[in-house]
Amino acid sequence: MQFNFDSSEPLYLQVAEQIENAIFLGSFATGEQIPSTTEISRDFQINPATVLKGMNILVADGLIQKKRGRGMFVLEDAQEKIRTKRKNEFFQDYILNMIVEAKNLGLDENAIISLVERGFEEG
Amino acid sequence: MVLNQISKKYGKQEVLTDISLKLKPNTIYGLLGRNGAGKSTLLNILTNRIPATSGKVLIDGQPNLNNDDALGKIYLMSEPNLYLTRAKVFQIFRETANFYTGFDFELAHQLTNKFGLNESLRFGKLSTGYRSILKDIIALCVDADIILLDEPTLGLDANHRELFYQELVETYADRPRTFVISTHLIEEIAGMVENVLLIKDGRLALDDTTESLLARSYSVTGPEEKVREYTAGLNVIGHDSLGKLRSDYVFGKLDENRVLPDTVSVEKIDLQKLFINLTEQSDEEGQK
Amino acid sequence: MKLKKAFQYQLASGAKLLGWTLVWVAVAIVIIPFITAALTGRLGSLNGEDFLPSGILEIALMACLVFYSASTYDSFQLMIQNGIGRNTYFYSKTLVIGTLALVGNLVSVLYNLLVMPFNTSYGQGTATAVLEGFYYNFFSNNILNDVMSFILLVLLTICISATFTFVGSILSLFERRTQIALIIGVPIILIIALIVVGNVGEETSLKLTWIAKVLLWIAGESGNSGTEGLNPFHPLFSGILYSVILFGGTYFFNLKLKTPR
Repeated sequence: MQFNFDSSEPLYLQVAEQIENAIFLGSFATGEQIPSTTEISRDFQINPATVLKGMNILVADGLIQKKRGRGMFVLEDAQEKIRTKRKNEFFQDYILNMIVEAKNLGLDENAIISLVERGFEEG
Repeated sequence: MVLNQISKKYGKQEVLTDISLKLKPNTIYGLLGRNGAGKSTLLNILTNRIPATSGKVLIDGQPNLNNDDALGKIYLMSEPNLYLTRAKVFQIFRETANFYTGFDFELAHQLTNKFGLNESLRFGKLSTGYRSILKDIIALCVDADIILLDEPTLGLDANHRELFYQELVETYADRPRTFVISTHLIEEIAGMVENVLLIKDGRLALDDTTESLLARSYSVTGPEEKVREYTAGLNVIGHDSLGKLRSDYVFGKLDENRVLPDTVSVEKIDLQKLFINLTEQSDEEGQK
Repeated sequence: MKLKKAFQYQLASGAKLLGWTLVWVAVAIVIIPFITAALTGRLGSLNGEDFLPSGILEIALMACLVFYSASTYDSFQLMIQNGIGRNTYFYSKTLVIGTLALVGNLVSVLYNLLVMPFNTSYGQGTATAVLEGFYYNFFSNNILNDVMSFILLVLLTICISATFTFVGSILSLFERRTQIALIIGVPIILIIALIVVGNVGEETSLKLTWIAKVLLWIAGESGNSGTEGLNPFHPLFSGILYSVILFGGTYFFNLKLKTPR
């Protein structure tokens, strides 16, 4: 995990994103315990309240669950939920923005598709 | 802890003017201000090391003046050394425990190990860095509700600075209490500070949560004219320029009715940037 | 108020200081002469008195109290760092001075009695002996005379300590440089003032005799004649008044302590 304190994004969102990313990449596997608030606070010198706020977002999103007295655990369908969420975000963040920029550049649909095909070949 | 209209004069020179604030329980505060802004003076008044010229400090409703009960709820780790130079480290721990009952000896031993501080050395034999470390360790082990830290990482190397703040956060998580950290190295504490106290020219310029401060701090970047146009009438606290490119730093609400030109971008800024711009104003004013 | 804790701490450091002072006084009065005698081959001329001199505890106690009383700033710093206010600091220190003066003198008197068999010239020069010389004949009851001498001894110790706490409490408000200037300057000014006053002429010498009369009254001169001995109630009364005034002044100045100065 890494936190960028200079970032314009609030720290608690960064905390949520970093943990989410770790779950998505499988660093915190399904059913496993994720590091405690104190551990994350300590390692990155972040206020425990901020870390907790970030974790609560993940709890609300149904990615992790609190087990009484034992800490936070990754829920079974967490990875799938993240995938779905990211697919939506992919459309919003990349596709729609790409089309806006493409229009600025005077590229039509076919031109974009051929560029995408080229991207797949080279990537 | 409540501060009521604290002022401090040295002769005719006014160091602190009319400072009123209330410290919330279990909160980490960052006490920010440039050198000579009056941070140390304020901390010394809180702990009754020096008297205020006027105003009152109440701790749990009791005035702090020569009040052992009130003063026992607060510990100040200060740059000046008040411990006896001939006392050995472990003796200083014992002395402290005599007055601050509930001193955590176990934690103290763990910390001296982690920092590599030999407990049988005399205080006078310690380097500046290790004196800071010793005082920091005491501050973390003392069972007081309010811990004031005045430049706690003075003379510490990067590893020890990080270790100290790690331990601070951990003890805070274990036993929440109020910390007030005065430092000029803002990046180090940016992630921990929940509430900012900014002292400027002896006055309390800001007392707000970090979140709320950062939520209304922006940088507006783009071609000079466009930026000036967009930020006209807003609370611009500073700017950077690179040729024709200009960044205006705005503290406060942006005007939502204004149309943002394509060439201008608005971003959030971090605590350090906000601090630098808020405190630099007076220099410019001084030059005019 | 955390008077008990502060008192315990102050007493411990005061007792420690007393212990060390005793060691040094013993080194100066007993061990160095012994070594000198051994080196010069005159060990035979030493007797019990040289190993267990009477009055040694008195000297150590006095030296310790002078130092303990006068040093204010360092112990205040430690107190305020530990959340102890100026009031408690003053009370605990004053109590320690009283305790050390009482217990120290009691031990010292007992010691002087114990070493009496080894001393051919008992008590010569000890404060107890001097005081007894002055006031021993006041009561017809010898036990009362003993008790009174002891009370005056403790009071004398306290008066001297009070003087030094008072001086220390003023000095502690200044920075080191100013302190040194005051320590050197004030006595010089006083001596010059005395010389000037002494040379001014007959009118002032009348005043001086007036001062001398007051001093004699304090010592216990009852005015009639010296035959019945000095009245111990005069020094008792004056001593108490003096200590109260000086400790009051100390309290006043201690409340002004601050750090950094």
